[in-house]
Amino acid sequence: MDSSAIDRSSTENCAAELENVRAENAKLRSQNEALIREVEQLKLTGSSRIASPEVESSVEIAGLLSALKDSCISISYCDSDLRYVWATHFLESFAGKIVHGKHDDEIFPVQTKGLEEVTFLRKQALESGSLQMDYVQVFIPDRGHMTWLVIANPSFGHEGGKQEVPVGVITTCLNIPLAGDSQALVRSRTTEYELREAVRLTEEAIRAKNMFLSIMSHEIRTPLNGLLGLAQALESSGLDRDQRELLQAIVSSGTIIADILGDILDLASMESGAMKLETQPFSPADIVHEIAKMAVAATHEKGLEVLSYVGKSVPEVVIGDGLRVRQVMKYLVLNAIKFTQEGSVQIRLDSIPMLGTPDDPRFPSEELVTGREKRQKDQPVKSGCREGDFVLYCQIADTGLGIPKEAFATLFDHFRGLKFSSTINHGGTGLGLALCKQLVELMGGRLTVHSEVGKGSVFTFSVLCKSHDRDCSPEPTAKPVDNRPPCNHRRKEPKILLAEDNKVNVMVAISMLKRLGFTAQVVANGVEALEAMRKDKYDLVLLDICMPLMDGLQVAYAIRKFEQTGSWPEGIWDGNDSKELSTALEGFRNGGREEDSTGTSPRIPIIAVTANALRSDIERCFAHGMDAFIPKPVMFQKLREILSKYLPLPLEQQ
Amino acid sequence: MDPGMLQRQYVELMQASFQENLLDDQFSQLQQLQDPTNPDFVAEVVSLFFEDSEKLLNDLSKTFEHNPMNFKQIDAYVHQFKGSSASIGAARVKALCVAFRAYCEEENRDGCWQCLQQVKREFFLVKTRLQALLQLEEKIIAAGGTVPLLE
Repeated sequence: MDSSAIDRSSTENCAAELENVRAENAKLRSQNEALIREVEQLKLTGSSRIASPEVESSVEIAGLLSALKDSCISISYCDSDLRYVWATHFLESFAGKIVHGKHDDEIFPVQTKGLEEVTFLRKQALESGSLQMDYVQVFIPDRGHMTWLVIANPSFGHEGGKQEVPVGVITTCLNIPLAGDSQALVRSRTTEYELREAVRLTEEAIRAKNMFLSIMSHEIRTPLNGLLGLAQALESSGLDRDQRELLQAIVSSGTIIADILGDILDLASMESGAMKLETQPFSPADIVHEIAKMAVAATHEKGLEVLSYVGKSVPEVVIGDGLRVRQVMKYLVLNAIKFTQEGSVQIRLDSIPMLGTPDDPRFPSEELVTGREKRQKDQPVKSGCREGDFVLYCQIADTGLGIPKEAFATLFDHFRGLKFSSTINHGGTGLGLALCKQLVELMGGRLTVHSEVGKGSVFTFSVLCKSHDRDCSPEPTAKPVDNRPPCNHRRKEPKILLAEDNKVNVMVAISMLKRLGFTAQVVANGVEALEAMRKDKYDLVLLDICMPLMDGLQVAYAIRKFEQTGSWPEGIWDGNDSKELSTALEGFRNGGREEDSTGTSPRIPIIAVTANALRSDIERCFAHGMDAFIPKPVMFQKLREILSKYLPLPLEQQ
Repeated sequence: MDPGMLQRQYVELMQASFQENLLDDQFSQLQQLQDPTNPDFVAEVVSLFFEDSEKLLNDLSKTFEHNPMNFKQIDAYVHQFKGSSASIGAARVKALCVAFRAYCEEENRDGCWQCLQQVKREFFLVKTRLQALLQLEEKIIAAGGTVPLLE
């Protein structure tokens, strides 16, 4: 065969092939078109009361629609003009007629309420192309009021070839049966976020409150100290009896205020978690005896009996916060005295060892279990207690007026309303019991009360302490050649530095300190004072302000500077004018806050002793870093009062 | 000798001292500081006061011989004297010292001189009184009585 023949036959073949393909294509196209039409028909077909022949093949879809038609959910499809294309029976039963091709307002009776909202949602869905949902209050005559959850979902089509244009909207309406007042649930929009916000704001408010209380108390304290000092100075200026009495009333009011401030500060610092408890050795029996003595003095006129009892099992020395224990005990005893006119006040102290095993029959009962531990539900009861720990258990009983049952609920709240006579100076405040309770709980214990009106009351508190023998860590300043056994129970005597140049004053001061159980190192001027501070560690400094060479203000400034920076300030040795220094002293202006020391050394209490009790003088003392001041001439009670704030008072010789 | 009469005398003298403002509460404080561990405290302090004050008054008198006068120095002395007399409870002496310092501040030479004389007089008075009281105390104790403490 020649090439032209081959070409011809292949060409014929190709043409035939081509014809086949074209035919196939046409078939496919028409089938495709038929399919599309079918789909379109399916889309447009309404309720399937009569299944139209075009959708016969889509039996499943028909079945779905059939199921939907009888459901109690209203689902409908509207076109972009919001005309119904199809709807479930449910909706039509509301409407009472066939809805196809109609608008809402052509279907529902005129009095129908809620249609605008539904229309709005549908329009939103069409415009935004995203799902819209809301609750709608609906009223349909003969059906009543309902609350519907309406969900409008746009449906996308192929109009104009673009795929993303909403061409209709599917609306689902759920009737939510709600009882009358739980409409509020629907209306309420409190979300988790809002609740969280509320909690956060509340916590912030509490923090702000505590800071405010703290700052205000300090701010009030300074001029109050000034006031009391001035009153003292006035007292020694030659008054007649009447004036003296008036002045004493002034002082006692001022002292009450000072005590209230102290309580407020304590409460605020406890709430903000800033209060730190001491863990120092102390003697519980000593505290009981001291307070008993005080009680005897306080009940002198009333003629009450004061009884005290310290159980045999109470150890001689325990480790804990003796100052706070004393504070609580003292308050409760004073309280007892206040409300008892005749009979007795008893102080009873016992101890129960914590043995660490819940099975031990001597293990304290649930009642004694610490308040703090009770809150930790998942932890075993013995957590935090080790062998050698003690519960100190103190009861203060009185034969006084008793507390009525109605008062029990708010007894330990802040600012409870029980009145007390304002002429009795107890330093008592409405904060007292609340403070005691918080302190006791902070120490791992509980404060409870039993009382009967007319018979008396018993206040009981427990605190957790450690046994001294077990928790004996060697003191960093212990002398290595000490022959005594490591657990030395001798209380460390506080070291006081006294800077005073007048010999008579020195003799008087030493004698007063001796009466209080203290000894002191004496220096005669500011330079010697600083020398002594550099050589030795002191627990408290009593500084005369007017001294030669270097006055007390400069000494205080130097000490604070050293505490904060670890170095002594220059230029102080050549007797610079303290006025220059005072401009740089803002940092030390501080009403005695112990926790402010951020430097290398702990803040040593510095007490100014001065005859100048003018406000400006007092302020200058505080500005230079003093913590308190005692006016001259020094009165014994005042010295004792101030010292007891900073040092534990050894037993006094009466 | 009957301690009772001595005690009455003592009490009267003490009361008079308070009424005259020769001595004030501060002196009572000193008496209260005296106890078996500190048995001669008042006598010791008082004699220290005498010693100290006499020296001071001497030094003060000398400053008036300077020309020009050193008021600062005078003020310093007076300040000391004020301190110790206050600690003892010599109320009138202390009050005079306050006035004295005011004159020093004014640099009033005559005023200061006047004050010095007054202060010397007052010191002498309180010294005599204190010595009398202390002597009475000794006599009471020697007679077997106890020294009454005034409230």
